[in-house]
Amino acid sequence: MSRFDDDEDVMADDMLAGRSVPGHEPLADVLGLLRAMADEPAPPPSPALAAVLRDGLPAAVLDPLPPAAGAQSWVLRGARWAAGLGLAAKVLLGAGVAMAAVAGTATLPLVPPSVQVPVRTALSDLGHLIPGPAGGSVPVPAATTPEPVVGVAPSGDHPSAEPEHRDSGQEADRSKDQLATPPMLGDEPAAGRSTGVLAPRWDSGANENGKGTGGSDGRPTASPVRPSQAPEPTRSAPSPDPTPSASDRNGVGAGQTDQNHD
Amino acid sequence: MLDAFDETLARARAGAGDAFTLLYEDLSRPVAAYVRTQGVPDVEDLTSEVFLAVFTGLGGFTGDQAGFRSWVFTIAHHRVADHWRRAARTVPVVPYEPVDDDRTVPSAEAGALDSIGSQEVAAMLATLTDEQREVLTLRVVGDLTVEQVAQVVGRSVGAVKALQRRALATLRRQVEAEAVPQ
Repeated sequence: MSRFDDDEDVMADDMLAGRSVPGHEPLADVLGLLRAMADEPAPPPSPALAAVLRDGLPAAVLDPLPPAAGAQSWVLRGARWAAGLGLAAKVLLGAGVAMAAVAGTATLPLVPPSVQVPVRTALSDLGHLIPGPAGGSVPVPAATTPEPVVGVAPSGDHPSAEPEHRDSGQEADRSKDQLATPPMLGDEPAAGRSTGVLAPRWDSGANENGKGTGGSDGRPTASPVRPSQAPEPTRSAPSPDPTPSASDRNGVGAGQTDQNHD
Repeated sequence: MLDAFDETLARARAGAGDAFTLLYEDLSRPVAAYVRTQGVPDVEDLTSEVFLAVFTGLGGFTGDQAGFRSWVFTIAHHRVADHWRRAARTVPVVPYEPVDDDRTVPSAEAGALDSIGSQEVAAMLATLTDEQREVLTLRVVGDLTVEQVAQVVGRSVGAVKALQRRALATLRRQVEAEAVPQ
């Protein structure tokens, strides 16, 4: 802005404020007439406004609505909480959310195993890179899809083929076992570990000879697959479960292993 | 200007009709003049609309008397803009009824006064652009500062200063052209 503009602004302010400016009296007169328009009597109020001027308004109409206590959704509270985090915490949070999303997608039943296996492998590798809260690794999500068992035809007329009491941990272990790399031919399973198919780890009612064919309470137990139904190539069964089951600890697993190899 | 503005505003917020009346009497004339200079034909209705919006929206206002004045003219500015927006969409066709025609011919004396009064001013304002006319009216009729006008019309202070400079230059040329004998 030039000095000329500054002088013009000062002069304009003086004229618009009603102050006399030498040499500009005719223009000041016009502005005075314009200013006099504000002194003309106001038009009469409309009937609605006249009623308000006469009777007033209820206070409820005038008060602004107070914010409701529970109006903020948990999404907004979470967003504000995340916005208050530091940069490193945001990066870790984002990585965790992304990993959870990928892992959750990989466990969908619609995803074929050819996709699930590489994703799970990659996640397990990433889990070692990102430290957990206690310095551990991020746990790899377990698969929830029942994989077809080699040599077992789940039929409704054979209740022992599909044990009804199977918790999610056993399901996860089983799926993980079946997805793992099968042992090569000639590999012998480690002692005390079962390569059996559908080994009932909850079968605490195994009898003395370690065959676990039935519960002591008489209920149908999820017994291991009968040798007649068990397929011959048990070596193609999934790799052994690293966590010993109760029956393994009782020696049942070893007996079954021997039995299966027979 | 009200002497006890804060007290009046507090009572108006409580819905007191006498406080509304005080606020209306203080600002209705400049608001009506502003509406009139913007060419709105129904000044009475639009001015009443402005004050109804002001009174029902008092709960959302915070500030002093100068801020209240600026806020009222902001509402008036929006109402005038809404009026011309509606008028651009609808073309009313009203049949002429001689009974309803309340126009009167002014006396010779009043006509003489008008000839040097509002008509001349209105004719001069008609030569300005809409933005220049609005800024000039808000500065003179509304008695607002440059910053307040910038807030009302939603422009920068520099833009408002430029508009008022051009408006005054145009008016000066008009006055000088009329002063020159034909």
